[in-house]
Amino acid sequence: MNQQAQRSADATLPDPAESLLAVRDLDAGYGDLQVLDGVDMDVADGEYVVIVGPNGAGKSTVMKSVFGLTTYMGGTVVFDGEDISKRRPDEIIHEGIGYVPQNDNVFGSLTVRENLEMGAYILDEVPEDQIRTIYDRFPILEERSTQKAGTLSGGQQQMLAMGRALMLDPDLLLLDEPSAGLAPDLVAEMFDRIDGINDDGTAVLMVEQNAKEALRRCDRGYVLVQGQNRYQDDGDVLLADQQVRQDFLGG
Amino acid sequence: MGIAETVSDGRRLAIERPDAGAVAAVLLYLVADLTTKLLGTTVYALGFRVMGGSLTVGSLASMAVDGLLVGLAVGLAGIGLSMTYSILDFANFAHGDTVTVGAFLGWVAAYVTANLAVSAPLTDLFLFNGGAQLSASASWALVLFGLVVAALGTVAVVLVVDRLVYRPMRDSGSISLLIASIGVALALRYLIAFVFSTQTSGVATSGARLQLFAGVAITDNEIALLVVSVVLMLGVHLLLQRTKLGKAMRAMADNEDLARVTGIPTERVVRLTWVLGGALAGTSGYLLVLESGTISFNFGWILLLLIFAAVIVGGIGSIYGAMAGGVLIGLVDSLALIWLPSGLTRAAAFAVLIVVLLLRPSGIFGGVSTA
Repeated sequence: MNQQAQRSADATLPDPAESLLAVRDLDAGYGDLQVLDGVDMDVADGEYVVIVGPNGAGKSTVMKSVFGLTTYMGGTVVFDGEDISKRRPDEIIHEGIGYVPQNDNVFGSLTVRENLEMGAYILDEVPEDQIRTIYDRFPILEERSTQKAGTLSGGQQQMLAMGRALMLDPDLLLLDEPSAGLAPDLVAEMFDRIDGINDDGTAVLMVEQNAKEALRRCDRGYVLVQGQNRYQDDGDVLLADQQVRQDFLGG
Repeated sequence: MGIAETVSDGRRLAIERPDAGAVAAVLLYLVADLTTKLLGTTVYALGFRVMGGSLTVGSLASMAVDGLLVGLAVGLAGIGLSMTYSILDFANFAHGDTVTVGAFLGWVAAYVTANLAVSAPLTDLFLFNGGAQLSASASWALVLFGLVVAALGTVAVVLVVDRLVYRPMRDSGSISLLIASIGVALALRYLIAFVFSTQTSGVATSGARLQLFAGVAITDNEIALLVVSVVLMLGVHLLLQRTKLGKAMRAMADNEDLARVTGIPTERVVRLTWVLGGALAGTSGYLLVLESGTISFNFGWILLLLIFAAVIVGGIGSIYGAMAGGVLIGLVDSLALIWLPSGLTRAAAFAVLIVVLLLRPSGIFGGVSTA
């Protein structure tokens, strides 16, 4: 698998018990519309995994399916040894997965702090130490803590959305296009912050339109086409692959 | 500088926003007219009376107090309507009849208990016949008891209706829910008419009058309405701002999908919405009957248009808007008596609604959304 990226069909999949997240032969979609067709995917403990592919390939659908937001049609999703394929989002949160949707990902009429509190709704008490950790990670949120989230800039809202998803200190963070809609000079900063979150031990599964940058930063990448796995390998191997570059990364 | 600047500001306003300018001109005329009326002078032009007349400060103040009281009750009822709109995503046409349900439940409880010692048969008492009427000062414990029954009873009714009607169709569109709510409204109204018949009954009478100033008086029943509604509005404010479930309600009103992926138990929030909205509607109906003294099977339905107007003026979905809108609509409805015959004051309230929407399409508090 030197120059040529490894084909998923040939790959021997790791034992699901060894992965933090193991998606096997997953079929899912919305209502009657099937989007995913036999997707396999693994995220190891603390790993940083990126999904790239053309529009409509089902990248976001993979994440939504992991989080129980799509119609289940077959296959399994195993997280931390437990089958979560038919669970609801509010149950999956308890397992230790945080999800940041692409759009409308803050409560605009709530204050910044209230947004964070909502992130820990399932706990009996507001975890002040966790809020502290998030303020340390994103100081601007502490500065703006009493401001309505709707008045924040796009980049700040994205940080708040991540902060909210980190409130329960999840083992796996699902990020749907975190750089979407950000000014170009903020994109690099956003990637740095995601690196920081990952460096502190949280596994990340991310969909990103900014594919080159994402592959440069991640541990491993998957290329998804029409709801099926096409390639998977280390990020820099995919980046170096002629075929992948030509077909999916714009040369 | 002050006057010249104001005049030039006014001129600019009239040119840049003719609609706002026209409204300002009408308001200016009304204020001038009111002033001349209060001064007891009349201004004639070309032989026509253009403004003035006579009006005492006392009667103006009385009207304002009346309007404020009705407005508070309307605002109280409007909170529930606004919450169902923002959290359950539909305009609940059964809300007015929920107000009636609360009034009947509370008043039956208070009236029957108060007159148990009277020899009249229980069935008559149940239908508000043959007993003595209540007042907040003379029988405050019973009035309070009725208030609690009104709130709790309405909550029970509303939860049963939700379980039977709305919950099975939670995922239907807002139009289907709206139509279902019209069905619920009719069912509730005529169930009440079936049991209590369609007559108007007197149940409350004012026990004491408190002279305030310039001939303005307020009755004990009105004081009860004032105190209870202000306390409840304050309570709702604290609930929404300070408690976890209150914050979750605001979060869900804001973005239901995000609330779900955040782990907020959406079905529990929906239930709380019904509990709170139902309790406030029932209380509001009970208090309005305490203030007016009479009860009839369709007073909530008639009130519904006013409640809708209040909620829309305030900015639908905002509970502070519902409170403010209620007071505004109540005041307009009452103060319009200065210029209009009593049959037309409702029209004035809706004219204000239209004007507010033309100038600020999302309502006074719209876009500042607060749940």
